[in-house]
Amino acid sequence: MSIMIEKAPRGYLKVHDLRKDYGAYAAIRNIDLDIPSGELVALLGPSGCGKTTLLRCIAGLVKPSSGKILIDANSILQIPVNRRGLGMVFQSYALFPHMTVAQNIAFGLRMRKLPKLQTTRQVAEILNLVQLEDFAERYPNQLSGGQQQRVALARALVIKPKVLLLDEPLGALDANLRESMQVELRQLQQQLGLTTILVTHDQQEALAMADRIAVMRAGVIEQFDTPRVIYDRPASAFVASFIGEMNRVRVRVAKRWVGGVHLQAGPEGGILIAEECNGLAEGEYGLAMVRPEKMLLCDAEIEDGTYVNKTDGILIGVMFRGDRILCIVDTPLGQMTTVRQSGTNSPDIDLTIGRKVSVAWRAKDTHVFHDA
Amino acid sequence: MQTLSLWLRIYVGLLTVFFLAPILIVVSVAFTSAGFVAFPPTGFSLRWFVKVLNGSQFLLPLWNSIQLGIASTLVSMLLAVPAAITLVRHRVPFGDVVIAFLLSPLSLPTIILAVGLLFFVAKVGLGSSFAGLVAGHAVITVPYVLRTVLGVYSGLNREVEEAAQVLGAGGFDTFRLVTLPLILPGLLAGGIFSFLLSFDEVAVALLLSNIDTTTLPVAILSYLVFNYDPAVAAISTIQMAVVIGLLFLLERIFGVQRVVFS
Repeated sequence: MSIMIEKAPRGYLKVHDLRKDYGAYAAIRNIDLDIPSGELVALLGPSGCGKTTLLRCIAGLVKPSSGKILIDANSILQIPVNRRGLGMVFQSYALFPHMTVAQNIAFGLRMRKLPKLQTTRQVAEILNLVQLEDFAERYPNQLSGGQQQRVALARALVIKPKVLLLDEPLGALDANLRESMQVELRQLQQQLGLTTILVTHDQQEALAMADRIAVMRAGVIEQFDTPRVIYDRPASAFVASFIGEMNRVRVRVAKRWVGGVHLQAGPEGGILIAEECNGLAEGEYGLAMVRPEKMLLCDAEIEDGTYVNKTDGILIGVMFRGDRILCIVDTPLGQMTTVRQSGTNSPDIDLTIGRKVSVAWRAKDTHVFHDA
Repeated sequence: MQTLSLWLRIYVGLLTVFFLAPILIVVSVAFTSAGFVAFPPTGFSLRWFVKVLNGSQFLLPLWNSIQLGIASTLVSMLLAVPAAITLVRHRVPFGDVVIAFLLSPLSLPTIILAVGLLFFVAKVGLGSSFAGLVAGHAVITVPYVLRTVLGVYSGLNREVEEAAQVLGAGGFDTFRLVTLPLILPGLLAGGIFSFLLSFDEVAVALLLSNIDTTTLPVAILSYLVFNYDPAVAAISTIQMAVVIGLLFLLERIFGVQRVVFS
């Protein structure tokens, strides 16, 4: 009887209190990430938020000012970039233009002094995996953008990295190709069980691909959670408006009680109700936000008693988007956008522009944040 | 392709004659059987080539010039490539000033440089050695190599080198396998300019060479002072043949046309 030895988890990535200063400017600070083996984490944020700096710190291309980076509980900060054994796909793909596809992919194996026969076999295997068998002898400039992207991925995967780093890997592809590559890349990553960090500024990409998303702004992580939670319960006004659409109303906290919060909206003094208010004190000003798809467009009375927030207005715009219809309503609280599924059996209402309509939403869909 | 208009053809024709005529005259005079330089040449003979190639009067300087051209080109490559890489990749304080300084020999008359160099090599004890000559020519040729390498290297995607590093290449492997092949066109173009410049250079060589290190242009110049026979035309023809042969070789190996004119 042989004793089963459980394999140590591969590619458990931990980042602790990481910081990178450029002079007086902190590109990233207080970065903590705990990424179990096999998880895909998206670093999402606008340009300049530090997401690429963070990725380059993990890769070893940038030396952090302080903090720790651990893979499988071992610090990698002292290991130079060429010995970290990580896979990386660059935004520009960074293929070697003077080498064929096969030579590009074999480069990492060549650096590891792998025997020729094995190299050839592994290159063939990975070419098969990314469906580029027929392109082995082509040069990068003879390939389409999508094919180059696959070569870059194959080149990163063939060395069997513990962690795969992707820097806007799909940014240079056109929209249709990008979507199919998202699916393909995600399938491949799950199939290989590869710990992966994806840097992107595209919220759709992050929502579609990631197990968890770290939303970054100005060098710090604002929220680190699953796409669902980030979308449904954003931690800050920034996260709420960076991911998805939001209707915003400026409010003042009128009264807090156990079951919820009363908010005073606008000078007319309409009262809105929310379930919680992110620690805002009574009398403080803040922003109330509601997702368009959580807002109900209605004629007058609604039977569902949970739609406690209601405001009347005039329908000023209707945009048909195929699967859904955007309706813009001018209300005393400002312009509100609502979304209706088209072609569903929800009660149809008259969408003539200029009509008097109402919008309503529930207390639990009202997010309240500090006005930042 | 569009056909050239009549005027353009005439223009191109005149320009071609203007460029080629002096060369063709020298080459044709080299094959004269007469004892003096005259055009058109009278008779055909190889006697001036025989004269030039027998005796060390021109052969030694020709060999010196080839060695000097190769040596100063190699030296300027060794200086220019690391300089270009450092200046492009790292935030060098006053980088622009450093570049301007390194390119400054371009704007100095070589005779002025030569006089300065004469005092300098004498002071540091190089005297009129071959090393002094190489150093002097390298000063003149470095800007050409630096210029072309800078041009190619600054257009190079930095991520390509980083990709090599992430894949396991150390500094030297990255340079050898990625950077060097990618800057090779610029390096070769600069190298060709550098060799031709050194091969052709008179002022520095005149002041820094001695009897053993005389270069071909200096030898031709000194010969012309007292002689006016077609031997000069013959050695000039040989000189041109060396250059054309070299360019032809490089063209076959690397495609100079692409390198120099791209």
